[in-house]
Amino acid sequence: MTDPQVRTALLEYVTAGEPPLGLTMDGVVRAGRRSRRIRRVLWGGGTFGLSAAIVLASSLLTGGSPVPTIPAPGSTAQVRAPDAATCEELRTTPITANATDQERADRMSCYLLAAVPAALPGASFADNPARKAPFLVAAPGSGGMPDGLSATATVSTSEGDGLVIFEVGRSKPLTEGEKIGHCDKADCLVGPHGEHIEVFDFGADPATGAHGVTVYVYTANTLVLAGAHNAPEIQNAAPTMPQPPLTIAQLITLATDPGLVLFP
Amino acid sequence: MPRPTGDADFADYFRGRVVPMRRLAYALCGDWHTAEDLVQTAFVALYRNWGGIRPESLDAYARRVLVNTFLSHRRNRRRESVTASLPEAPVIGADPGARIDLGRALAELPPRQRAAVVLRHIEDLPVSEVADILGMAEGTVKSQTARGVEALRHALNPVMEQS
Repeated sequence: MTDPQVRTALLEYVTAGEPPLGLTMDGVVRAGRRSRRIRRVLWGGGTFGLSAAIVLASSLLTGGSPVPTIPAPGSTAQVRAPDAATCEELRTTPITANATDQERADRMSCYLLAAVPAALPGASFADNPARKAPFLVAAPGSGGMPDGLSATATVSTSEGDGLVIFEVGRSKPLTEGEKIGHCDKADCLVGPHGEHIEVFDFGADPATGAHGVTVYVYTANTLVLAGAHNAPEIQNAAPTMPQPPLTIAQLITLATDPGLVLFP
Repeated sequence: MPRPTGDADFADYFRGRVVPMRRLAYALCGDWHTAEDLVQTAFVALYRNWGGIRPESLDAYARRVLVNTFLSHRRNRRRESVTASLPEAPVIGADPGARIDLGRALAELPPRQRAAVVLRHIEDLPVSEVADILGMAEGTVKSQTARGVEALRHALNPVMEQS
């Protein structure tokens, strides 16, 4: 029996005695809409603070138990902002796989200190009182990811105070199966450079108005997390902003910038 | 090519792909009811992420969801009954005995091997794409497919010899 004969037998097996189709387009769309609603309800309980939500998202993504996310570095002495000359030098030289933790931190800080204020004209930035690092300056050895770096800032606009948070870590490229698994929990997109993007919009809590959004971007061996919350990172802080200070589109733009690909 | 956006695009895609998807699902699971459940799961996942998937990747995405759902379903069932996987509808047409033997032989293949055979020989996918869907090396796909087809041949040969 030849391969074509096996193929013919298989095709006959799946077509002969085929019952009428029970699935309908309307039924699938109804189930799809219900699935979207359920996901929004599951993820829209804005009673989480941003960090709690990120921990939950991280644990779902990695399939492991929640990990402490973005702990403050042990000493402020570890965390310093790079000077302009360092930023200029880094801007003109591509990162290599052998970059040191400090170089990665400097690259991240240089990028965020330029790009985030540009995305939020008129906003002012302050150190996040929950972290021991200057605003938008990356702290090496922090965060819940392998070789993770993190940076945060309290953002103030005429609408109120909010929080932005960025984390970059080492992550092997996702398999297609892993992407599908992740996309059961997140809205997935393809980025401008072909990156795999997962968007978690936690929605506004109807009771408190708290609202956090988080974007994960996978590029090469790098995972970038960018998040925004409409309240500062202070226990039980009531939101004063109607929306997080950065939109999902802005978070995606920031998180897909090649300047944050720190693990090529 | 623009990304698909609304329900109308989804409806067009559904109409064009639901029958071949159900056949693929049936070849994997050997049961039309389960096949429809698998296909519904795949289309619901597709709907949920509609607009975020490149048009040229829609078929691949749908197949991946279908195959992964099938493999998860198999793992969750814990055990497999050969008789439960036989075609439930009366087979009409040429040589029903051959189809029953083929259904039994498919059901006896390990799930991933069965998926490799079905994707290669019913969906006519290249080895590289099957490897991508199943998360296997291309060489493993080739060897698994060859073993699976050999088992099908062995099951069908007596029937073929009689006919």
